[in-house]
Amino acid sequence: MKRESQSPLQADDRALAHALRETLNRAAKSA
Amino acid sequence: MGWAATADGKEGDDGRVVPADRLAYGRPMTENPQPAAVPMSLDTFLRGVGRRAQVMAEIATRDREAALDIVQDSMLALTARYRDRDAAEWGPLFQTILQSRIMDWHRSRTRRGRWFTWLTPSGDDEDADPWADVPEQASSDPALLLERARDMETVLAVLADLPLRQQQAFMLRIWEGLDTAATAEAMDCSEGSVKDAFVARHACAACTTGGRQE
Repeated sequence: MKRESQSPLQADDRALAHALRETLNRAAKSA
Repeated sequence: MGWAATADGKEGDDGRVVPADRLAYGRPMTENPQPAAVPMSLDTFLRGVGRRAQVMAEIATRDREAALDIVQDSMLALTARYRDRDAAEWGPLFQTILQSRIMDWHRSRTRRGRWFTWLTPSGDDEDADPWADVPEQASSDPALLLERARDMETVLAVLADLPLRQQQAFMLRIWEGLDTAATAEAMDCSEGSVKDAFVARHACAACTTGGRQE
């Protein structure tokens, strides 16, 4: 897989993304 | 019917199976936010992806019936054209079809409404940088941002208010876990527009601050 150069995400960003993903999963379950 | 990914896997909250060797480690989101699970059959795949697709389409269209039509049409297209493809390809292929159908729906609406519309939202310009008008985070308080990110009503409302291209990049990268190449292909745009760290940081900012700036 081609990878682009990038700076690693901050821990806060990862936590936010995880929380958003979980929230969307809950939305899908209730859809 | 189950999943073929691994006998030791565990079903996640979204119905996908997380291979056992990935459960113990929190992989950085820059690699792939969702573990890849390979469905055993096309029916299994469609059952797993259906509700997520419905939420995506409904956020993008704000029209439940239109969203249902888009999702069903996308599923039929995947089944008709790609059922014999490798199961690992179904996810990216389905998202390419789904996002294309969503774009078609928006184009159709734009054509129908052009005589009554004074201004087309700039964020829906297909050629524009999808992240050009994302605001900076209004707060740097991680606890406050997490609280907002966990509030379903807030997240759905803010996502619905994002320009379509931001919605798509966010859904594909953050929720579906497609890599940058697959996301760019599904959105028919350059990989530079959907770089991991860039998308993640800006999407999180958008979703926790109130969306687009006018």
